[in-house]
Amino acid sequence: MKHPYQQAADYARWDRGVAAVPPEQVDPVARFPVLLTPSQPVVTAGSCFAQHISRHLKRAGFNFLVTEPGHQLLPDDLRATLNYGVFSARFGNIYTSRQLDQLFRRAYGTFAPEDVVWERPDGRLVDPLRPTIQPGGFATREELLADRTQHLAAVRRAFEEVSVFIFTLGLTECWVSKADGAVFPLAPGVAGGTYDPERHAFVNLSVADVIEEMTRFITNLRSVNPAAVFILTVSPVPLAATALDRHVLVSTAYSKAVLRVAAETLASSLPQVHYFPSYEIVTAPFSRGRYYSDDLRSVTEAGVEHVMSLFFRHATDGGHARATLEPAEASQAPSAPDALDQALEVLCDEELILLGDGRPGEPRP
Amino acid sequence: MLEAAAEAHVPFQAITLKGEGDGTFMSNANGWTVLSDHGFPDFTDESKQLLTGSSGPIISFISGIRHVRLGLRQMDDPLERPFDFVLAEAPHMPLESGTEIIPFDGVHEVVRRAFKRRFKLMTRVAGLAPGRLVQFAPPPPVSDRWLEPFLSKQNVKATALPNRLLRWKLWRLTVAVFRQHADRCGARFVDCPPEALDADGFMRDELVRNVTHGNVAFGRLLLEQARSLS
Repeated sequence: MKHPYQQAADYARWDRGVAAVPPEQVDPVARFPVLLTPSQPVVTAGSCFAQHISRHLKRAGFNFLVTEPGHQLLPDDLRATLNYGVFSARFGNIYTSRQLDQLFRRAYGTFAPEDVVWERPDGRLVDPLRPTIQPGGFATREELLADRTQHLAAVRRAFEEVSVFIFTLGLTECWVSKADGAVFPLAPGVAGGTYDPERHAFVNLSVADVIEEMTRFITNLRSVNPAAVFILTVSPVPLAATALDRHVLVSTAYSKAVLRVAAETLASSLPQVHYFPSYEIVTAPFSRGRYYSDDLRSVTEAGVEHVMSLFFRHATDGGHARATLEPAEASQAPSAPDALDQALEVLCDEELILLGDGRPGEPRP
Repeated sequence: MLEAAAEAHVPFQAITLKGEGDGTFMSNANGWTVLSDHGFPDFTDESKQLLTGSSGPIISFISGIRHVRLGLRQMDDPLERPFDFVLAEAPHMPLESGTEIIPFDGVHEVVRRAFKRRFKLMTRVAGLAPGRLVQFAPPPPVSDRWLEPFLSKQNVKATALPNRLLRWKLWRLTVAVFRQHADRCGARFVDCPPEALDADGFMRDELVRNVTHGNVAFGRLLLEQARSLS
C-alpha cells in the first residue's frame, strides 16, 4: 500500500511542483472553481496589488465593472490622475478587512464616522476615509461632501451589480478613531489630519478580526446581491513600515500570515468564496526574488504577468488567450466642432490686444 | 471696446487676433491703428514693434468661447449625463439635481487646457512688454433671454435650456484661470465691471450684443476701467 504522499499529484510535491519546474511555469493554482466569463461584471478592491488585477482585467476585455468612471468631460489622463477607474468605484486602496466592512456600512447608511473632513497644511481638505483619492485635496467642504455622496451611491451600484468580487487583503495594521472606531486607510497626519494619541489608536488585526469583518461584509453584500461570488487574494507587497517597535520583516510576516489564514478559513467555510494564490506566486522562492523591484517591495511586471496569466488560465472562460488589448476607449475630448461650435466661433470676433501710449488716451478735443 | 474708444475719440493702437495674421492694418485720421495678427507661430515684426515701442499699459482682451461651449455641452448629446461642479469661490451655490459632480480641480484643468493656446499668447505679450500687460476678464455670460433665441436658430435638440448656474460657474472659473495665468506672467488682472452685471451675475440684457459679446455700452464700461488704471 502506497503512503499518501506517493499518491500525491505532482503539484502537491515540492520537488515536482516547484524545484523541477521552470520558474515561469510554476503553477500553484492547480484547479480553481470559478470560471469568469467576459460578460460577468467584476469588481476589484483592495491594496495596491489589486490595481494590477483591475488593470489586467480591463486590458483582457473582461467586464471590469466601474460604476464611478468619471465624467466624459474629463480626458482620459485627467480621469486617471483623479483616480477614476483604478478600482470599480473611487474608493482608493482598501488595505484592511475593517475598511471594506466599513465601506459597506457607510454606503448603506448604517455607519457615519465622526471624522468628516481633515484639513491639510495648505488649507485644502481631504476625506479621512480616502485621503489620497483627490490629488491636492478638495477645494471646499461642500465639494468633498457632494463627491462623497456621489461616491457612496456608486459603491452601492457596484455592490448590487457585481457578479464576481475580487478582494486583495493587504494589511492588518491600521489606525482607528477612539470615538467611534472608524478605521482610516492611512495614519492620521500622513496625508491629512493630525495624529492625536488622545483620539487615534493603533490596531493590529488578528485572524479572528479579519474573519469576523470579512464574514460580515460578505453577508452584508449578499443581503443586496445574493448571487455574488468572492475571490480573495493576499497582497504579496510587504509593509512599507510597521507601527510596532520591531523589525518590519517580522510585522510583514505576521500580517501576511494572518491574512493568508483568514482567507483560507473564509474560503473553506463560506459558500462561493475562493482563494487565488497570487501571494504564493510572487513570494515563493522559485522566482529567486525576481518578482520584486529594486526596492524589494514593489512587484515587477513579470510577477504580475505570472499571476494574471494563471488567473486567466484557471479562473476564466477562454483561458489566457484573452490577454489581448481592447481597442482604446473612445476619445473623451469634447465633441467635434458642429453647428453650435461654428455659430459661436463666428460670433467670437473681438479678441484683441489694445495698446496705448501711457494710459489709454483721453478724448481728443 | 474699440467702438467705445472710437466713439469717445480715444486714440488707440490695437492688434486684432482674429485676423489673417498678414500684418494688414487699418488706421484713420482720429489716431486709430488696428493691426491684424493672430500671433502664431509668432507676432509679426509690426506687432512686435507696436508692443515694444511704447511705455504705457498694454490692455489684453485675449479670451475665447471655450467656457461658453462647455456650458452648452449637454446640447450635443442628450444621452450624456449632465455635469455640475462646486465652484471654489462660491461653494454654497446649489448643484443641479441629476447631474454628475466633477471635482473642481478636474473642471479647472479642463478649462486651463482649453485656453492653453491663449495663455501662450498672453505669455508672449507679457515677455515683449514686461510689467505692462493688463489682462481683462472674459465677458460674463448672457441671460437665458439671449441664449434661448440663439439656440432656437441652431440645429440643436435641446429639451431644456442649459443649466444657467453652470454657465455662470464656468465663467467665474474661467475668470479665475485667466487671473492665475496673468499672475504667472506678471500681468495685472482686471475683473468684469460690477455695473455690467444683473442681480444674478449675468451680463445685463441691455449690454449684450450676442451670446458671447457685449455691445458698445459694455465697451464703454471697459473703457472706463481702462482709463482708471493707475
